[in-house]
Amino acid sequence: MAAWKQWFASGGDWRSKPWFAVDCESNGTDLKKAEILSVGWVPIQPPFVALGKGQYQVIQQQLNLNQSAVVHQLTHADIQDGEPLQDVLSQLREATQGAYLVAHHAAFDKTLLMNAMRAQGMVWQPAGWYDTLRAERKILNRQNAVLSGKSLQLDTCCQRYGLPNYHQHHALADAIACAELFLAQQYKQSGSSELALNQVLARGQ
Amino acid sequence: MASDRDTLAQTPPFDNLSEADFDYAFNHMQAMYLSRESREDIVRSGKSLLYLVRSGTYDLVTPQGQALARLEVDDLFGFPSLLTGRKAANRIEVIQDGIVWTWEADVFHELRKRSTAFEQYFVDAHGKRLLSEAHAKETVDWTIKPISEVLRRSAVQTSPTTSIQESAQIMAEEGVSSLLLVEDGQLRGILTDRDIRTRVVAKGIKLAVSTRAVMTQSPATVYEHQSLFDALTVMGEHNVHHLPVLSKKDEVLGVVTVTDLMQQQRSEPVLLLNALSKATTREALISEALKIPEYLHSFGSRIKDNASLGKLLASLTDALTRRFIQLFEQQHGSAPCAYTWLAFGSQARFDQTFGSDQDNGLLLADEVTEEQRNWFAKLAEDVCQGLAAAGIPLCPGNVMAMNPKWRMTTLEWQDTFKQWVRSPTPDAILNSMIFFDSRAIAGSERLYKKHRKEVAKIGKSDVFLANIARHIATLPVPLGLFNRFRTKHDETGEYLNVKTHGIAIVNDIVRLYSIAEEITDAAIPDRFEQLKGSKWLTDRDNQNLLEAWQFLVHLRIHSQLYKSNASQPSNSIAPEKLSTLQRRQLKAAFRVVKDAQQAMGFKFGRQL
Repeated sequence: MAAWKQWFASGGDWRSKPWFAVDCESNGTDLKKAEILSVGWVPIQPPFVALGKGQYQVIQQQLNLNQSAVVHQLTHADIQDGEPLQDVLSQLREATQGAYLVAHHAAFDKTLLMNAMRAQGMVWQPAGWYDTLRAERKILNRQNAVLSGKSLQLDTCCQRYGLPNYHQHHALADAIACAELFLAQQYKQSGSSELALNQVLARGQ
Repeated sequence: MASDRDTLAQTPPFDNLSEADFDYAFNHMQAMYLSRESREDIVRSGKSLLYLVRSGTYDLVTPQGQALARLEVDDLFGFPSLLTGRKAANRIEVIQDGIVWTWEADVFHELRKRSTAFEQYFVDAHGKRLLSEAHAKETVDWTIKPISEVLRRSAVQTSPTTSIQESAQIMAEEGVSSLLLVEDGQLRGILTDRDIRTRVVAKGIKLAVSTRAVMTQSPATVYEHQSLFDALTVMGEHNVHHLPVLSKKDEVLGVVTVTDLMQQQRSEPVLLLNALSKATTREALISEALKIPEYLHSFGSRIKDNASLGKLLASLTDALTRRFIQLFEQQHGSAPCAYTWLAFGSQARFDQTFGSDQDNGLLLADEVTEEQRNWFAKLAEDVCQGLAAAGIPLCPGNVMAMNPKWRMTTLEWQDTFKQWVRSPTPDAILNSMIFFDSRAIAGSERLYKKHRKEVAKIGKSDVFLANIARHIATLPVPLGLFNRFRTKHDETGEYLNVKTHGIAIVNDIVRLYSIAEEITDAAIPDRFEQLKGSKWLTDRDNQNLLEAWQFLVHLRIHSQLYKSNASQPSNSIAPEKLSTLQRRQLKAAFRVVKDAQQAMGFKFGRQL
């Protein structure tokens, strides 16, 4: 009974929780100035990623694309034809309210999205965040691996688990890659034992 | 890099879905991380899914633990239990974790309901009939259509003793332009509208005279199983527009006319043949023949069934050979005794390719004199060199009529066969492989038929057959453990030879069974047809092996026409250059060949 209680306190089985992978493309890395250009999100229902339910939205902005256009391949025309930021954020909010969110280098996406939501006066409360980058660093450190600059990039991580390569720096493609990486990290590390939600979240902090 | 959507759109059978159905499939697609652990999640949930491998490596394993196939990128699995509704008997062993795309059972069934092509793909795949799909799609080119398919009515015939007037009345009543004259069930002659004009009316012959006096005696004929292309060839050679059609038992069936042939659409082969038959000198013939490859190249890109190109090439070589012989006879008088010009190997089998060299010989009447042999030596030299000049290379193994060794009387040939059968040395077995595939190209058909029957009797020896079987069993099929391709590797890349490791092995197996059944046809499809109901090959295995052969021949000719890597040996196929569907089909074809090879080994094993 006590063991069962402990298991319950640990959050229960991670596989039964609602998960979403999310990725934002922005026009810069400076969080104070950066504007969101596009958002992609996809539901994760372990061991599945619901590819068909993935969402991708380009956001309408009047801004200078600077250097970032080279990275995310969005043109001025794409941006001008985009959806209003408010609409996109409320869609994201509705889909993910109360869910656990997964992102690669999650602090960036989290801050960017949280700031944007707040600026629109929206209340957004995901149940928790999991960072595939931090999780990967922990896993590699435990293996005493030597890390290079590229070791923790999304595509490098995906390759490490034999995941198919995706076109990078497209918000939905990256969200999907991140979702698959998330599943790989859990299944690869869990062995035969069942993982509790809190164990998963602890790894992704 | 391609998006998931593009990737799926290029993957059979999803490539065949309408836009709306494809959207449905894509919107219900899930990516699954497949590992030992996640596989257990699925097993526990009791779900049946359709899987498409995107990365990782998995083995399909029987309940007894035997690995059936290694599943890799683009492979589909899981559909058998979806189709049958039964729990999957085989399980998936994860070798390396990766991503698979999955669809739930209800989505799979909805797609089957929406698209018959989708449904058919999985039904075929489940029945291991993936190869029939490729073949069914191809409409048969008219040139290889059997004559029996255009025979519209039974023969209009009468006795040669009928008066000319009565014959003309029959023709008028039946509304036909030709009449067959038959006696004792044998075709004696043909009478056409033109004959009545030129041989009767113009010459003032009395109408009461019997038709025998004015008919064309012993006219050129074709057999119902021969192709329309053959009919055209014969018409061109004899300059006639009507050809009596006979059954294999020489019964009179009807007449095929040039109009019947012209009603079939394509005209390229007709033009080619006309050009060959109109050439009046050796030089002109050679220069026309040299245009054939280019002609066929453009023709080949439009031809649906590439396998028929092999038949076309063989038929053109036949026509070329006959024309060389005719030209020689015009200069040196006709043949001094009965003979048959023989084709062996690929020409005989109708699977000639652009690179095929000559394989031919001469069959001479037993009473031939030394002097007459000299005439045939000159003929052979002239024809073989002519063919070589016309682009069909001399045989490096010297299996040619110009080699005195392969210019023999019927008795000499039969002694040679007996020798091979009695002492089946490796050399004898290789020789028999060439010489048991033969066809009469010119000269006496009757001489050949009688001879070929004798040879068939000689070949049917258990010890001989067992020795051939033992040889065939050693030929490698390029399919390794777990159903993976075993490719050759050199500086030009990875490739495998579909001829020596596929087509030739099927040819060998089919020849073996044909010898055992005393089948005298050489063309592979004809041999398959004749082997139906044989104890050696169930009808299902027969069909599977035929489809595998057709697929491999198709792939080979295609690779020759559109060779992407000139530095690789001919008949090379690079698996990674093939489409997903072709790769799956190639594996399925090799699998069928390998199974047939093993089955053959068991059947003859007892006798070894």
